[in-house]
This record gives sequence, C-alpha cells and structure tokens, in this order.
Amino acid sequence: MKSSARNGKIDLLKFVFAVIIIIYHFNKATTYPQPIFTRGYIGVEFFFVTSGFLFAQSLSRLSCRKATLIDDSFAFMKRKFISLFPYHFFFLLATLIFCIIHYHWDTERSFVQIIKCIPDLLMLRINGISSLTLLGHEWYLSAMLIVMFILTPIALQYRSFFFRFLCPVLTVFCLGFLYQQKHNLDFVTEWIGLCTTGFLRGTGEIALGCLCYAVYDKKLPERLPKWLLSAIELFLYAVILLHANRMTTIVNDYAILFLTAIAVTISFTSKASFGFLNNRFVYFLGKLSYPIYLSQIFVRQIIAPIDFGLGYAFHVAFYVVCVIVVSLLCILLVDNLLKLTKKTSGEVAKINH
Amino acid sequence: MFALKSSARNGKIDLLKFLFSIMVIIFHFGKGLYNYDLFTKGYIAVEFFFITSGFLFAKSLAKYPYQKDTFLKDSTLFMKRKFLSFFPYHLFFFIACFLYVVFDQHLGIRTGFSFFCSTIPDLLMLQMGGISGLSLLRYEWYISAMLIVMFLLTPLAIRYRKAFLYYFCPILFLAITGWLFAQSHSLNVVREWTGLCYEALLRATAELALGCICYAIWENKFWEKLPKAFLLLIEWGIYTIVFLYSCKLFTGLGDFFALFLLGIAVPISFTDKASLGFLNNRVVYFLGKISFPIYLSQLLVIEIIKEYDFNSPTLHTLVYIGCVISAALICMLVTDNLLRLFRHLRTKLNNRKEDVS
Repeated sequence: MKSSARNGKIDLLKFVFAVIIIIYHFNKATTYPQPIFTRGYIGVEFFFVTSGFLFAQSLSRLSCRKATLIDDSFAFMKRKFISLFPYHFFFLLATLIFCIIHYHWDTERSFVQIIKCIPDLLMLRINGISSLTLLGHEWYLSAMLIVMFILTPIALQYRSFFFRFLCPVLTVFCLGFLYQQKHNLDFVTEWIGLCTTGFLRGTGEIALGCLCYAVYDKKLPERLPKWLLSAIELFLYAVILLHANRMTTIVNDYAILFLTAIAVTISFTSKASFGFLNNRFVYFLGKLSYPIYLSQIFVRQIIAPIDFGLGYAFHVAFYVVCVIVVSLLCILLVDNLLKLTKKTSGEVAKINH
Repeated sequence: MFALKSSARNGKIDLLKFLFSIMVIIFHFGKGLYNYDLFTKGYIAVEFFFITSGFLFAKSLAKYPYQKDTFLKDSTLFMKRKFLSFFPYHLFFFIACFLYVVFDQHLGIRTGFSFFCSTIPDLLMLQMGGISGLSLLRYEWYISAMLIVMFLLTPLAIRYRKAFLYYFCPILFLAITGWLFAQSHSLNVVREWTGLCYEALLRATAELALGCICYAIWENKFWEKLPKAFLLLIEWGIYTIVFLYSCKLFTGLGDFFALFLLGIAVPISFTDKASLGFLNNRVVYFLGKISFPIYLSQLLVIEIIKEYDFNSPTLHTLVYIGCVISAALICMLVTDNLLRLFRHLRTKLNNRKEDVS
C-alpha cells in the first residue's frame, strides 16, 4: 500500500457497521421473533473511536500559534460542519416533508415544527433540546461535533497534555460513569444531571479514539509481524460482529468497546493493510455509509409497517436495499447540486473580476 | 430620508424594548389578578432583554482592549459604569417601594431600620445572590442577574476576547439551555434554587452568552450578505411569532425555540442593512429610555391599584398601563433633573477648588 493511498479497509468497515446499525434500528420498529444484530448499536462505538482517531490525526497535522488558536479551531470546526452538512440537510428536509405529508400536519403544526428543527439543522440536538424524533439517530453527529468543538482548542494548544493526560482521564471517567448508570451502551437521551448520556458516550469514545491515534503515532503496532496484526484484527472484528449479533455473552459492551479501539488502531496501521481494498469501489462504500446512516429512520418509517408476508429475511434485505438506493439518490442529487453551486459561484466571481 | 447614518442610534431596538417591556408588565399584571389570554407567556420578553444586553455587552467590551497591567481595573471600571447607568432610576423606585412598605405596614423606627438592613442587597441590586428583603422589587431579578453574570464574565471577556465569543459563549449557551430544558422545559424560572445558585443566574448566563454569540455573528457581517427585504421579513416574522407565542398561540413552539428565534432576530435588528430610518427619531429613542422605569415601576403600581374594583379587566389593565407609564415619567423627570442638578453642583465645586488652588 502506498503510504499516500486512502485506507480502503476503514471505508469497508464503515459500510459494514453502518449496515449493522440500520438493521438494529429496523428491528426496533418490527416484532420479528429472531432478528439479527440485536446489539447492533455497538456499531456506533466503531464510528466514535474512528472519528476520534481521525480527529487527532487531522489536528496533529495543523501547526498552531497561540495568537490564532481560536481562529484555527473555528476554521477546523467549520470545515468539519460543512463536510457533514449537505447530506444532513437533504435528509432533514426529506424527513420534514415526509412528516408533513404522512402525518397530515396542519399549517400551524408544520410551521412550528419547522422552527423547532433549528437545533436539528445545526446538529445541536445532543444538548437535550430537540423535537423531530425521526432524526433521533443524528445524536451521534451532534455529540461528535460538540465534543470536537470543546476539545479542539485544547488539543491544538496543549498537545502533549491533551494526549497524555486529558484523553485518558476523559476515557476512564466518562465511560466509568456510564458503566455505573447502566452496564451496557444502549442509551443516548437519558439526562444524567449535567448532560445526556449520548454526549458523555461521545466524549469518552472520541477521547479513546485520540488515544488510539497516540498509540498508532508511536508505531507500537508496527513492532508486531503483519500476519499477527491481521489475525488479531480479524479476530477482534469477528468477536465484535458476533457480539452485535448476540451470539456471545462472554464480554459486555464496554469490553467490546476496548476491543474495537485495539482493532481500529491496527486497521489504520499500514503494516496491516490489505492493498486489494484500496480501490474506488471500496472508497465509495465508505462514502455511502454516511447517507446510509442518515436515511435509515426515514426509510424505516415507510418500509417497516409494510407486511410483505415473506418473513424477516426478505423484509430486512428489502429495507437495506431501499436505504442504499435512497442514499445513492442523495449522493447523486446533493453532489451535483454542490458542483453546480460551485460552478455558478465561480462564474459569478469571474464576471465580478 | 430613510438612510441610516452609521452614527445614528438604532431606533428599532428602542421601539422593541418599549414593546417588550409593555408585554412583561401586562404579563405580571394578568398573572396576579386576571387569567386573560393576553401575554400569558409574556415572560418570554425577558429573553429579548437578556439577548440584547449580551449583544451590547460584547459590543461595549470591544472598547476595552486587553492590557495586562490594567485589565482588572478596566473590568471594574466597566462594571462600575454599568451599575451607575441603572442606579438612579433603581434608587428612585427603591425609595418609593421602601417608603410604601414603611407606611403601609406602619413600621416603627426599630422595625423600619431592621427592614432597611434586610433590603441592602436589593439596594445594591444583588438580590440574585440569594438574599433579598424587598419583595416589591422582586422583578428587578433581571437587572441583578445581568449585573452579577456580567461581573463574572467581564474579566474573561476582556482577557480572552476571541475565545470568549467563539468558544466559551457557545459552550455556556448549549450546556445551560440543555440543563434548563431537562429541569423544567420552560424558561419561566427565576427563584428556583439549583443547589448552587438561582436558576435565574443560569438563565441570564445562557442568554447573555447567546447575545454575545449574536454579536460575533453580527461582527462577521453574516446578515449583510442577505438582501434587505429578506432580512426584514425574517426579523419581523420572528417578532410576530414571539408576540403571538406570548399570547398563547403557537403553543407547540416551546420557550427554548422562541429563544432560538430571538437569537436570530436580535442580530438582524442591529444590522445596518435591516435598519428602518424612520424609527431613528427622538420619540422612539424616548420610548426606549422609558422602558426601563416602566419595568421598575410595575409591581409598586400593581400594589397600589390592585385593590380598586374597575369591573372590567380591560379597563383595569389600561388604567394600570397608564399608571405605570405615568410613574415612569415622574421617575424620569425627578431623577434626570436631580442628576443634572447634582452634576451642575459638582462642576461648580470643582471649578471653585481649581480657582482656590
């Protein structure tokens, strides 16, 4: 693998875990007796840890002066927000229109609901104020953005302190507190006195992801032979998938979280790379994972109530295909609109000059 | 004719201050005596005042660049100016309320003195610290909360201006509004004790922080990028929704979403592009000035006129508003002239001292 090639393995894992999460949410809306991935929420841990890793990696590439700390932090978060916003806005709009039509909301209710989407629009729902339950799954984005907003200046200004002290402390105490509340990770919106559980979960796991980056940066995994790294990595993901499918009760969610952290660290290591995964198709699967995550509840509301009479396997497969199709539509529409906007604004800028 | 000179005072904000202060006084009057629908959620007006105060707070602090040796002194000076700007009218109503209680309850010298000692926090506008003695000034909680929070935030805002506007304020706003939402789902909270402070202090902190965020957005000229008609449509649309919400329409909206809407409308109101030049005149400026004594006089006037039976809530309310405005005008007349006299005497004294030296 060329050191500059994008890590296709992470893209593939993003796609796989996104599908696991959407199946988990689909199961919650149906009453089939033996669904798969009944612990599929564990996929979110992969995303948080990976986000934390990539967050730390991006920040380590930024050189920062004290005088421009806030400007640099703000610029970093602005880029992050803008990268997530287009697809998010598409599904926010689609969900609102769906609700208005499907639930026959009158004008006043529709108008009020549009106003109440302001926190959702700005991806701030994890602070506790939100209204559109069909966007409840976006708690992950909100938690990630708010946690990153808080940590960015600290990470830029006090790099050593951030990695050697703050991240370990946040990981231990946030996750420890959550464990005392409930011995699993399947909770998001419960208020725990100062914040929601989702926010604390995001904080602990992003901090854990940053620690993974610190370990990666020290090239600790590189000391092991490639075959061993790959074996450990594949074994860990197998355990995680079995746990998500409730096929093992040997370990609990928190242990799975730590196994995920180890696996993610190895996955980013170039020594453990699988070159055949570094291709455009796999990269596209990674890109698709985000709109898949965003579209799940919206598609579920339409597909889940339909009784096909063909059993769970068909229903869930049909649902997954619909989610993928809607995601593809989203990518097609949004990317082309963005391209058109950039082209138009470029032409306008040229005319003005 | 309608172009706004960049130095002209923003008449729109003065008009809005007047309208929202009327909303608040009617809310308090209705709450105590009648249960009519007009402004039953009028407490939402306080959010406008907090956001505007936060905006102006951030704007004023731009005049205090950080200097290591003097920044605490600058902070103190800023707060002293802020306190003194409120104090004259506040003192007028403090004395009026104090005398009313003394005569109404026939307090003797000893009880009167004891009562006075218990009202010292109210005199110093510190009742939101937790200690208060003069219930007739309980609606001054807003001023007290604002001063205490500004006192806490000013050194931080001067020392770390950019971090304050772009980092601390968003975090404070998100964290506190989330907490308040989880606690009570309403912004109509003042004297509920959280264990460490009154909820009003948290409400003030969150909303002053929102005002500072509004200033940061305004400073970046974000709203100037939009066309004027669009800005005015959003602005007045939001104020209309908030007014209707305060009258128990759009009940599904919720206090916190009304707060977010005000956070959008207030910076637009301060934007030059959205200015309405015909509002920049002395009448409107005067309406803005009278909004503060209107707010201060309300409870004393309620105490006096609540006993009278007008047989009609509408008439009673109109008489009440008339009395509040009259009391506010008297306050301004007496206080402004006394202040003018005081300054004149002080200038004369200083001149005499200079002549002697």
